[in-house]
Amino acid sequence: MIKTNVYTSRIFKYFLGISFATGASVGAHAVGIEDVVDGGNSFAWEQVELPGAKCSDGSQYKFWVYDNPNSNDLVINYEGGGACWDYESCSGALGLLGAANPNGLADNYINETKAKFVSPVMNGNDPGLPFRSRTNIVTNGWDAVYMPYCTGDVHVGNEVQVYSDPTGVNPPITFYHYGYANSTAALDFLNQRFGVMNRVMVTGFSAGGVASSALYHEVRQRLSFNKGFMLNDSGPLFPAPDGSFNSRQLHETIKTAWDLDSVLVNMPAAFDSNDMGTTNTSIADLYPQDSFAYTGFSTDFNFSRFSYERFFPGIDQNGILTKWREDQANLIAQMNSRPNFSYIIPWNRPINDSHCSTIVTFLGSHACPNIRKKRWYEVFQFPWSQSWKCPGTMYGMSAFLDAFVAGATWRLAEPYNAYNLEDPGMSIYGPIIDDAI
Amino acid sequence: MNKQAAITFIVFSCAAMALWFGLDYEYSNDRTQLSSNSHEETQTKNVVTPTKVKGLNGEYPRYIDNQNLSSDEVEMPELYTDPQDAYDAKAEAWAKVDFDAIKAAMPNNRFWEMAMPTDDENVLASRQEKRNLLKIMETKIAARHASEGEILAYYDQQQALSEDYVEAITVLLNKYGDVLPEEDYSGQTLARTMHLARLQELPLKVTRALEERQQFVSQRAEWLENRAEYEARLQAEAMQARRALGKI
Repeated sequence: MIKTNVYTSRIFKYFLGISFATGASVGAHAVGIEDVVDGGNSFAWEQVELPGAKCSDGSQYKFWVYDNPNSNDLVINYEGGGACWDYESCSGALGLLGAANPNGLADNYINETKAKFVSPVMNGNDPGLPFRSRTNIVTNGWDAVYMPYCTGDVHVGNEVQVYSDPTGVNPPITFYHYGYANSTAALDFLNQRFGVMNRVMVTGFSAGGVASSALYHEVRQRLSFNKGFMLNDSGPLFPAPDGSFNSRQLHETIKTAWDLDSVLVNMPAAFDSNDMGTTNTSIADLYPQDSFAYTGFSTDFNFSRFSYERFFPGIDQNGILTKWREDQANLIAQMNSRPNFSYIIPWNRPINDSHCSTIVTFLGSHACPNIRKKRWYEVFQFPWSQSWKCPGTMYGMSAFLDAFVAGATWRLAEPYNAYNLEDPGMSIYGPIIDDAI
Repeated sequence: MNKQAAITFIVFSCAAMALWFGLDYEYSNDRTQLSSNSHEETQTKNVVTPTKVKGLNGEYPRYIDNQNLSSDEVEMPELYTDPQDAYDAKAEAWAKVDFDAIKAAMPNNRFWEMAMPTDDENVLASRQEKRNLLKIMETKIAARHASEGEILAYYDQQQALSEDYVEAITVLLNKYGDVLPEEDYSGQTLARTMHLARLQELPLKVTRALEERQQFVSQRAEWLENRAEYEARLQAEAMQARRALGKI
């Protein structure tokens, strides 16, 4: 039993003046250390190039496989990196609101920063810091597959477009939205390679998060395994059955640009092509023995920009985040309607505009569902700088995943707070990590 | 007079206690702080009695949600200690870090300009503007539209920034690694490691960016020479690729 009457002990420490002396030892058990992966992965990756698989520029698509001889479990990670559907976004002219790797993938891509430090979910079995304790993440020792992103289509497009520069200054570009062909070919390869597996976790962040949901049915159809897990990090397929829903315009746009109708016919029967959000319920219903989860921040200011900025001209940050939370509320209601859906939705993290809660590190990805401002009598509590208090349990991402894979269903959404923003450590390493991403 | 003072003191104390417990009752979800009355309410409200699942690192409740949080019932592995204790340790530790001394030793390090925590709105706005400009250049390079000079200048800036961050964090960890909470020590180390990795890959990135730019320059020259032919070729390629997808 962890919870105690914290207030009493805090006041006691304050008056006795012993809190400084105990700081270091308490810190050794601080929330979050178990979540840290600090060296990036160093798997013995095998590069796979399948005939006909292409990046957006027509170059060879590549993905990487790590086969642990002692494991019969597999984690597949779909990389994120924006999306595009016209010349402005696909050429890179729109800046942030474009797609990653428009010039293909280098052979050493897997050793570059983005892939190497991608997520503790992938890197869970790497050694931690020397001389420091670290607890393994649940995917420790699993086989791993890293699916890079270079098609601008959340790994599911099925079209080839010639996008012309509306200004006429630059030549047109041929853009291969080959995501679906690449993804399904890779799954067939993995089936041959791994055979019948015990547990498979399909995950991804941002655009890759969308893929983890959208491709789950394909994974189930093409691979053989006993128990499946889907963890969508910040790539929500929000319900949007008609034009009154905030994400409808985005969904309509990408359906056309990537010819999604040609691949949506392969979705479960319960999927309604008029509402992309039914992806969530259709897979949860079709695979009741499997477990599904969503995670993302309520202040995600990246995916939300893709979702609304170009479709609601003049919209500002507040407007974007308001729409995001409206859509998020619909998603939560949808997930609540299915017994095999979990979620952990922290409020914010000063890394990557609060976009993606499993990338790089789990530090700051915790959720305290009853977090609140300190009360008048608590403001005297140390520390002076932190004005927020978590009177209950702070649920870390590592614990969430551990419980999720163990069969638990946790549904945690954190209310508004600035706890992470007032964190003295994160306020330093947050922007520095940001500058390395 | 003494009697009056005693009565005033008792009344004030009672009022303060009532306010204290009243607020707690009204807002807190931490049921361990409530009175016996409140415990009865807790028992009726928390109808879900979670069973446990066994994970890699301990046992967890099988089901919890925002409406059914009770610290009495949510037993977590010992690893997940009280967040407030953890936070206390953090603040205490950071109070020992003498940033002024570190700054005196490296006043021109970009860490102060770009990453040192501040509430100064002007500094924050300036940082955001600098990061926006870097992001614009990054995507311009990815689009292959940047000039050779822009590419070299961008990566020079990136190199200088990463080198400065590595230097600053190295000093921070060397001097205060022993006092920082493990979580923050790890966070700083992760940031440092990422920038070291970035520095390693920068030369290759520069070479690649210059090659891709050259490719774009050639393509553009070809297009300007005969636009119709160039565009027809692209359409033919697209057609062929659609055929490969089985769409035609």
